[in-house]
Amino acid sequence: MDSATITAIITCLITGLLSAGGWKFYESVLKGRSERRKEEILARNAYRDDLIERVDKLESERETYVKALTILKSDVAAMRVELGFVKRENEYLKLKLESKL
Amino acid sequence: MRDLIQKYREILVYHDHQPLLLFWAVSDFFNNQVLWTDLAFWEEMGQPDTYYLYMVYLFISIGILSTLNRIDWCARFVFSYLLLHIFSTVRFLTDLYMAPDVEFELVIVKNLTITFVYFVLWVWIYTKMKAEAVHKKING
Repeated sequence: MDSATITAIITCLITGLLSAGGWKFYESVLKGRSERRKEEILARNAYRDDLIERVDKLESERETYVKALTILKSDVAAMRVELGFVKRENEYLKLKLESKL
Repeated sequence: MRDLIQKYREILVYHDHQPLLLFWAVSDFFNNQVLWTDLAFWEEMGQPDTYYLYMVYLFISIGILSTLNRIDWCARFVFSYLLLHIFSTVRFLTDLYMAPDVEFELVIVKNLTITFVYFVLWVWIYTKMKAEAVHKKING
């Protein structure tokens, strides 16, 4: 094998090794970037899932409180009516007592 | 002028290499000397190694054509082609440098310029393919 061929082979070997190393490095950089992106997406999804869970919980609580409020409102209305009757009866009894005196 | 330069840049960065690779490999296959000459012809010329070099080029061209659908393997063949190109060029340059009485003629400059353009071409194709292969490997 002449020296020109040997030089050419050595050049090719160096080129091959450098290229392989360069691509491995590029691949590791891209892999790191991709993993970071995946972690960000996972964190965002976890936050979103947590928000969904909290909204569901708040919705169910809200429904319970709306029901309780409706019952309270009807009770208050009934009491108001009853109070009106009691007041009127009280006036009537007062008047009756004054007339007796 | 700026638009033209911008267009060159866009072609190199955004355009695909596959049609170029396909046409180049087909042209290289049919232009291969192994198909049109035999070993005796090159032995007569005193360059039997050239015949084998062409044979490797033929093998690589067939490899490129048969693996165009598998980018990782095709990139390996393209890299082999690039290495063979570097091998031939370095060998030619070393021969030229070591030859005692060779004048640096214009035809040599022309050949080296064309070789350099081909080198850039193969580096560009290989870089594009390899980048695509790496992205596919990572992102699935």
